[in-house]
Amino acid sequence: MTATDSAGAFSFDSVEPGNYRIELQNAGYRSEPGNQAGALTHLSPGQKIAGLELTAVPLGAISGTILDAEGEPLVGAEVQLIRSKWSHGRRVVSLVQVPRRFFEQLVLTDDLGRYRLDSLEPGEYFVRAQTLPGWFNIETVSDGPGQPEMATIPMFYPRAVTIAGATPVRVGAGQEISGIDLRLPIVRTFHIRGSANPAPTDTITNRAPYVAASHDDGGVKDWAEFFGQFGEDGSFDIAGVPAGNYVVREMQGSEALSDQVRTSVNSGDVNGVRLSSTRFDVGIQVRFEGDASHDLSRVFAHLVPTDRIGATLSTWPNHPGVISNVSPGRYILEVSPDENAHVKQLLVHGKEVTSADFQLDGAADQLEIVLAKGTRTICGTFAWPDPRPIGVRAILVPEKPRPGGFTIVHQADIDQSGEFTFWSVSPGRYRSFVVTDFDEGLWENRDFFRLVSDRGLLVEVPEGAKDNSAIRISPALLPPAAVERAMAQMRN
Amino acid sequence: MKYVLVLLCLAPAAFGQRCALEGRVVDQSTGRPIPKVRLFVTQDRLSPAIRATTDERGTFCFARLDPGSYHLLARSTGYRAYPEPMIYSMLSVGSDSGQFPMTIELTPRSILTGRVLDADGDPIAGAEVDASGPDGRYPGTIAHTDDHGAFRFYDLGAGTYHLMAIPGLDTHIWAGFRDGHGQPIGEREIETYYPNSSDIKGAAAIVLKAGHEINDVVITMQRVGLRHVSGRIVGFAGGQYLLAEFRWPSGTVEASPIQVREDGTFYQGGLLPGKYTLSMAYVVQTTVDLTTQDVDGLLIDSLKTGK
Repeated sequence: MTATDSAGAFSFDSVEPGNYRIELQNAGYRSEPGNQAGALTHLSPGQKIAGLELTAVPLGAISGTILDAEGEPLVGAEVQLIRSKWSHGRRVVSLVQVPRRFFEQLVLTDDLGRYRLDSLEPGEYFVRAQTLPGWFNIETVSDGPGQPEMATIPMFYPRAVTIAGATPVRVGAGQEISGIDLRLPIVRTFHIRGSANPAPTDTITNRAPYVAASHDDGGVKDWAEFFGQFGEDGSFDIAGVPAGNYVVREMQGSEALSDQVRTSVNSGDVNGVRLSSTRFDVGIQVRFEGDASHDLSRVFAHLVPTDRIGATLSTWPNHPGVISNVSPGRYILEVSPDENAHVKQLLVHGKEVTSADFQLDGAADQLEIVLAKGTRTICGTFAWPDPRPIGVRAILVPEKPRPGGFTIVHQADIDQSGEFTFWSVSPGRYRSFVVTDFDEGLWENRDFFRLVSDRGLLVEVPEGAKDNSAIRISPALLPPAAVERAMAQMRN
Repeated sequence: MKYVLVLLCLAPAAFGQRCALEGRVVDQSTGRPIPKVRLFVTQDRLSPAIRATTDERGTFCFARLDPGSYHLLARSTGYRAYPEPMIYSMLSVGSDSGQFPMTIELTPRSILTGRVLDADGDPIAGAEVDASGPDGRYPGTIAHTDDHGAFRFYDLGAGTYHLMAIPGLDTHIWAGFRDGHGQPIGEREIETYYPNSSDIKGAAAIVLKAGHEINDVVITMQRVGLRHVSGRIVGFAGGQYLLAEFRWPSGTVEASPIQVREDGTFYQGGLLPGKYTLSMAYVVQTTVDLTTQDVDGLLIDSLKTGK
């Protein structure tokens, strides 16, 4: 570690040769310098590197005031940030862990209803505020016994009940966005009641499963909006739910334990929601093309759900032929073969899967993985333009994604002299780009890829080639404007 | 902990009676009525509360309540919660009452704001600031600094406070690093009492009156030079970890693992001056004093020190 002087200059002495990643630390600046010339530095024996120029990206902040229905400040309300990301080609909205805050430390409003979210990476954020339950439930109120229940309900900025109606707040590098104010109304609320079968065995610890209802707005999200606890008999009661369409699930942490149940809350409580989970085993067969004696015990397969947030399920070393505890839904299969092998084919029920994901429904499901030898190394060069862009990465995207590869999109950091490497690339046709603000999940979206693929460099890795020398490429920078244009044209 | 028990008995909504439960809310220091106070009564933790609000004369009225026992809570901007958190005021609405209307006194909340700076005058973000309770014990109320080093306590009662700043995660991370010349990082921020003392004897008291606000209190965090320890452990397989435990004056224990190489030697820099307990797997245990100097060549013989 070294400190910059008053001119911003720095030096490291007596550094062992090798590849280094330089990080910056300064309150108010991004510590991960992003991928820019010099952030990844290759140092050869005896080499002296001078004149590295790193750009420190300043962080931004969002501040505002949260008021209640009568315009009084809400004290101790929680303010959350939500970002829309791409995951396996789909949009996913997820809660942002606010930087520099301890585990589970929340951002709360002060006595004047004010909040401040600092150290934010540049980007777009949805702002959501909610009251937090205290020891007594004074968040849900009525005007007398038997009177309708009312509650202060969570809202998204500027004044939306669901994220679908929310407007994101755009924070530029180093920008302070103030006046992001929200007023949380008191509205008529209802209960969603029901039970889980089997009843959760743990109802006490902080890892105890809970029940969550979220607005059914079609999106995939990794957090829930309304919560309840299970009784010992498996019954649950979610209070304070405004009218709307919901998805109800049994959760543990951020993972779903039950299948999801859809329900509508109109003008009364919803009772009798039954939560259960369907679980089954999926058989896995691995074959190594042209080599029956190949040791397959070190090949691992992982099922990743794509239509919801859920745990990745894997084969176990002592039980390689099966993935257990699978629930119905859509998945992609990731395979980690041993070195120099690649996934040539993936079959479900004997049928080749050509799409990026596939449906699994029950115990009869069988997956067949065909591995083959013959991966190649691709070495690339990129001429750093001036001014040097930030967040640059070299990527390699298959023209027709071959299912089951451990990596769908290959990515590589570029060092100070413009060199990068993609390791263990399977045979096939690819497009290679240099991009800023790389988002793997976006590049797994085939609509997006179709719109930009013409701009990429065509790279072909031949099948069954005896020669395994490195392939050399020099892809060009894909302008951020082209990415934005393609995203605007995409079907959702 | 003090419990406020208010037992109220009331005839079940007698004919002509306007309120099942009524009273007045006043400022504890001035005795003046407080309007727009929200009051809640609830029979248990989970059921919805029944609400009422005070009018311009500070009076409130719960028109209809079923007979039974209730918790009463009152909230108003600028006042501390009634009753204070974790003290549950309990009342019963039942057969008869000589205690109505009841009077609830709210205490104005006091505010204390400030900044935490380092020795160079730069703000320290993510630091924890503890305001000791009136009995002088830590931790009392806790606040954290934002990116400007600013903190705000907004729900304090009147009293005498001591403030202590504790470095946040950012500062702790430095400990294991080496500088640009390969030397261990030399210094680090440590727990500091307001205004700038690492010793509680140097802590200055802040007297806060009810309803008052004290602003821009500056805590300058103290830095200390860091020490190292090196040596060898014999009679034990290498490649494991020694646990170095350091006890702060406030009682917090900070533990850092020291990797023992295959040949039994170890080196750990970035340690605060003070006494350490070094232990491995609860079998080997020894102490080392780094208060005034570094220690090199420490020999730990597990056959001699082991139990």
